[in-house]
Amino acid sequence: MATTSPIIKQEAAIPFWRDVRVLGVIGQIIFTILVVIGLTWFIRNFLINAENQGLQTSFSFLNTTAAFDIAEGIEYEATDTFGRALWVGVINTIRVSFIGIILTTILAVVAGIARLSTNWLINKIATVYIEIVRNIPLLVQLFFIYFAVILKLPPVKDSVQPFGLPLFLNQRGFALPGLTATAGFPIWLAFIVLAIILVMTLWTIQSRQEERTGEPVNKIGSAVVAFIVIVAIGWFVTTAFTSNQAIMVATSRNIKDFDDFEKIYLLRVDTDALKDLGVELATLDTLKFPDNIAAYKDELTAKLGTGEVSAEESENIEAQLDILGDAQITICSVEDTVSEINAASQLRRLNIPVKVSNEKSMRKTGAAYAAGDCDLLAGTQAQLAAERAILEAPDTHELVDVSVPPLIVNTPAPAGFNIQGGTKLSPEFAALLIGLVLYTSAFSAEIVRAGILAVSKGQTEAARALGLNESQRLQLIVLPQALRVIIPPMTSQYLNLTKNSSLAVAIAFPDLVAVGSTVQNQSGFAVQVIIIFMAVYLTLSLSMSAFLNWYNKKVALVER
Amino acid sequence: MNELGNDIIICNDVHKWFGEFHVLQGITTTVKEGEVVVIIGPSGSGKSTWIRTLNRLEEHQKGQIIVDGTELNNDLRNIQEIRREVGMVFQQFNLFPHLTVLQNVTLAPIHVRRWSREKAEEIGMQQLERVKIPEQAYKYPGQLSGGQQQRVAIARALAMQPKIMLFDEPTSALDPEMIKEVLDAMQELAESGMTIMAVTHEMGFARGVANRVIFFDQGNIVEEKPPNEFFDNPEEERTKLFLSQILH
Amino acid sequence: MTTTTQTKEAVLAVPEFDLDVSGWLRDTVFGTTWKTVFAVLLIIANILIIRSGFGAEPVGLSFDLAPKGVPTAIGSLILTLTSGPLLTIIVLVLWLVGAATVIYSASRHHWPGPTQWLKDSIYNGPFGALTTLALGVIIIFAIRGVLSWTIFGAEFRTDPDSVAVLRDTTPGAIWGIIGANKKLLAVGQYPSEVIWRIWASLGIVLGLAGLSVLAWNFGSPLKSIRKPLVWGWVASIFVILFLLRGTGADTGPMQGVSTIRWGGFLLTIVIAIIGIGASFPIGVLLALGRRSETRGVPVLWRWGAGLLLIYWGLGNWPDDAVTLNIPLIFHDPPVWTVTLSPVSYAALQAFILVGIFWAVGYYLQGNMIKTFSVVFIEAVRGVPLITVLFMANTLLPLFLPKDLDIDNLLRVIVGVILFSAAYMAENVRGGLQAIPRGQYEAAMAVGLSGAQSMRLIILPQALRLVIPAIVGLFIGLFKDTTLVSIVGMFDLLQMGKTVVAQPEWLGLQRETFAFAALIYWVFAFSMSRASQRLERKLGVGKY
Repeated sequence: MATTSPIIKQEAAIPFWRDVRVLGVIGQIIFTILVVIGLTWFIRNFLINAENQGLQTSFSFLNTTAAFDIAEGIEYEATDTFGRALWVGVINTIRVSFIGIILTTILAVVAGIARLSTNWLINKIATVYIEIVRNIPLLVQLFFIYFAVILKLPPVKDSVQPFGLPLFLNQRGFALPGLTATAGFPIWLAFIVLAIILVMTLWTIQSRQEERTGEPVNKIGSAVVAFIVIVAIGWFVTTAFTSNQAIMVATSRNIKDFDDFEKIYLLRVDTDALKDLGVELATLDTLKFPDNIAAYKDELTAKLGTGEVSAEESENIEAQLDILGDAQITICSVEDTVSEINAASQLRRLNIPVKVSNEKSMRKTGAAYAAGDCDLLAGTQAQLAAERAILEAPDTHELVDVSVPPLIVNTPAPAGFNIQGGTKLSPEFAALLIGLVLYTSAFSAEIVRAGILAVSKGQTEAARALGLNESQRLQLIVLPQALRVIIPPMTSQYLNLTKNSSLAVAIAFPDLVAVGSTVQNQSGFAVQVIIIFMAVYLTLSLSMSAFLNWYNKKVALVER
Repeated sequence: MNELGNDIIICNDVHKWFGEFHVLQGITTTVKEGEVVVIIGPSGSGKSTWIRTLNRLEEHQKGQIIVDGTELNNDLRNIQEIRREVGMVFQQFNLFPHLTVLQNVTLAPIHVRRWSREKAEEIGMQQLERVKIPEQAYKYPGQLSGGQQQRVAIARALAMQPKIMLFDEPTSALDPEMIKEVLDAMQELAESGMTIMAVTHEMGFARGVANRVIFFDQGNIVEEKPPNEFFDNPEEERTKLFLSQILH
Repeated sequence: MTTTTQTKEAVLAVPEFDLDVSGWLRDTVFGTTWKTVFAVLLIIANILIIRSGFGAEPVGLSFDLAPKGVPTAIGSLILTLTSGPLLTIIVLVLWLVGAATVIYSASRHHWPGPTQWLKDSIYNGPFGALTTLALGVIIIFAIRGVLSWTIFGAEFRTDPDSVAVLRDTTPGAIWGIIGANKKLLAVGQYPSEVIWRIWASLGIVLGLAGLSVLAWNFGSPLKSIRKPLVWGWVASIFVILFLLRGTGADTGPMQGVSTIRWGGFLLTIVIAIIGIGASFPIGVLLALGRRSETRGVPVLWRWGAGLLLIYWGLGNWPDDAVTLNIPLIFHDPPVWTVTLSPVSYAALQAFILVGIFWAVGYYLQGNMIKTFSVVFIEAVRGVPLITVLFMANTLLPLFLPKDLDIDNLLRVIVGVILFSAAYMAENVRGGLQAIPRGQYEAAMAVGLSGAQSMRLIILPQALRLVIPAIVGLFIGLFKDTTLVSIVGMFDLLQMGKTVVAQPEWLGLQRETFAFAALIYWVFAFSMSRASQRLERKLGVGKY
């Protein structure tokens, strides 16, 4: 700070109540005294009340056992501490906020641009969406989505599958296909980074060449090709060399890869029993391929569903379905591991029905396999070698290596009364996420629209005059300038989304506030829990503000 | 020219710093009652800052300022007394946009001098007539032209019946065709015996109406003389340079 | 330079019918790879939609919103008209006609008139046509589904017994739950015999509103009553609160109605209005405090050190070792227990106290008022409303003397007021910042004191500027009142949840929450429209 100017004034005796310099300070002092008195009074009351009610004022309660369950989140058991429970809540808050922010950005951009479209219908749809969602309180929307939509979905075995996609929506939540990273994923990621570096180098070289020769070079084309080639090579290399997966099967079965399971499956189809039920020979002949069997099963199910069959017929159909259902391949594996996902999806790809008898640990899985409960045991090569060693007759089982790509698709599939596989979203999480995204996007879309409109018309005309087409104009001229106007209010919308995630307590999603209020109910330490609430939320909001300030400075500098 | 009275403004070695920047470097001068003083100088020389210290819009760090016998120091009572007796007209008019012209003019007399509404309005209308816009009394400032707004500002200052009027570049923000009406009002004021200190670029006004012209440069009074001597026989080099730049 | 003259004929000649299909396709449809991909995807989507349209399945909406059951009354006609095959044929024909027109006019280059409008507004090129078809069919099926659930297939009787019988066969909504419980939803458990007081309050509000509309809108004659009207509004809040609350009597027309019995929409309005009303003066004070520029006590940290020395001198120098439990919930174990020797603890006290004083001195010029305002505003704005409500609900009784029993509603309202005041402060501060410095100077120059210039010059201008923002704040507050349901208040939303839990109306969440959403929407939307009109009016205004 600059040094203050020297104050060399003649000291006349001014009574202090009229001295301008003193008046300001006196005001401050009086205010401070009032505040201190007020605070002291409050704190005294608090201490008296706390003593009367036996409340502690320390944080040591966080070490106590929580003794309550949390419905979802990172690893946690009821024997963990209160502190751990709160941490689970924090992670849940961050999880729903992070995913929510990404989805909101996408929806807001789409809706904002739709509001600017010259197509009347698109424009009106976006406007109606925004005007409706903005004016209904978020909590009402959450209640509607949770109680009146998601909880009203059919039970698991009748899950809704929109458009026949592998998406299962039911009253226990959503099951969506997801991607799971396998052992080779980090290596593949390295390939991607390498590809990016190479492409950037290639781009620079080609730019220089362009400048030198003056002839345009197809930079984008070669960049894309180079990128794809390297990433593809990385994919194949990782699949071939870094997979550590294997399956263990009985040697007698003579299995070399998953296709070989087809024979075993077909043998299990009891065609004689089907013949007894009156199925024609011609049909039985076609049932020599898993695809046909699957199609036949669908046919039977559809017939049952139409309700136009007599009681006799439906009994017959159900018996057939039972027989067909008995034929399946059983997999032993640890729940939700790469091995299980891969084995299940490989077999399903061949249209072979699969039963997964998953356990929580490799020990139990190995024991199930040893007991003969399943056809194959899936795991990593190391795990399977260890399990094989403790089998009764190790030599009668062999390990077959399985190559697995760096990312595998985890598709949900109905299995009895459950859905197996896929990424599962609980109804609470799904409702909270959908509600937050829809609500925040309605406000954010207006911000996007204002940002694009803020780029003056002169820019558009200049761009057109230069001969840029519409998409170039958007990308090169409008978007960078619009971003400057959009990002500050957008950040505050992100902050609102994070704060609004606290409404989770109303629909029983265990975010920080929900877990915190349970902790408070169980332990009685209201003050401490509220201090923790404030600390966490203030940290989140102050970091976002700091980011915003940094961004504003960075953008402003560039302008000079 | 009018008869001049006692010393009404005394500045004695007045210094002011803005942080490290020494903007007023020892101003010593006196203004007599009824005198019309015009201050000219290049921009950034400190002339606006100086007249703003005279009613405490800026605070001086060293030296003495005595206005109408009251010393301008940290005493709140002194400051309020001085502000009652000194009227100021700004370059940007600074009228209160949410009040009518008459309300603008009567606001201070009612709340500071504690006059009744009738008395304030009577005096207010007198001043509006003096600056020749009584018919605008019930309009809002936004509905008036620049020249009319500045005249309202003059009337607003006059309604407090001050002893001194300060003008800080009153015509610089006006379109050329409106400058004359404001200068006419200032001239009428001067002829009625008001003590005036005006920072302005209007040399015609300085020549015709001023008792004294002060040339201000780099925080110092370089030269102060009656207008004829000032414009015809400037002594200092800096004065001659400045005059040659503006009188062409 | 030769000038070319154009003959009249050349100018007026319409271009030859030159239908260069491949060229047109190349330029518009397949201009870029993205457009091609998009066009292909849209064509596939269109085929899927047309297929399902003919199959009369509502597109992807299988949540019982489009009943296959028997609709009531006039519904049958409308449902027939919009049934799958018929509707799809109609839309398809319209689209083909439109698309043909677009192609024709694109090739002709000159075709002003209605097709130009069609071209620009609906058929924005071939993508517009394709998208319009896709969206149009989806929208019509969705509207059909919503209408049949809400009106044509719905049951409106409110008698629970007959409704119970009809429940299973009604494909649409059961609106009886709303009708039978309208008192609960509107005023909660307010005793029926004194509901006239609520009507009286409503009457007061409507009367004042009518007068206000007259006084502010139709020119000067009633301008003089504006000021008394504002005071009238303020007074009406107290009058209405008294009416609602009653006296202490147990019976009689003015019997006391404790706030526990206030509920439903009445409670929502009471919380919203008291919230915004009381937070206004507090917000203005906070804004002024935050803009305070007086320097506080210089060399503040010495005062902090002095206070600390006095504290120690009074016998509070730490004698024993002190154990601190610091929560670090991301750590395992979550509490970091640290034992400090007396000297270290004293050093920690010194560090914290002197540090705080120094920071306030350095960053905020030792201005305690400004510090207090900034800390309050930023702390409240950084946390969700629900935590403020929890704080008010659980902490307020702890910080007040035991015998001062605080009404449940009062606690919640205090929380709402504090929350709203922080946002109000920021709005007012924005207004204050917009007033040019010259106004302050002119006020000073003319002799007004600081307080006078604030009251007469600055605040009237600043508040006029922020009225639209304040209305926006009120709309937000109105929507946020739903959160009081989480701390046990029976506002409209919580009443809805309670009503649904009744045994005879079990399972009708959709109807209840849709109704609540409608009520909130109607109020919020009208207020935001009114605010936009107000903004425009203020903008034109006086200056």
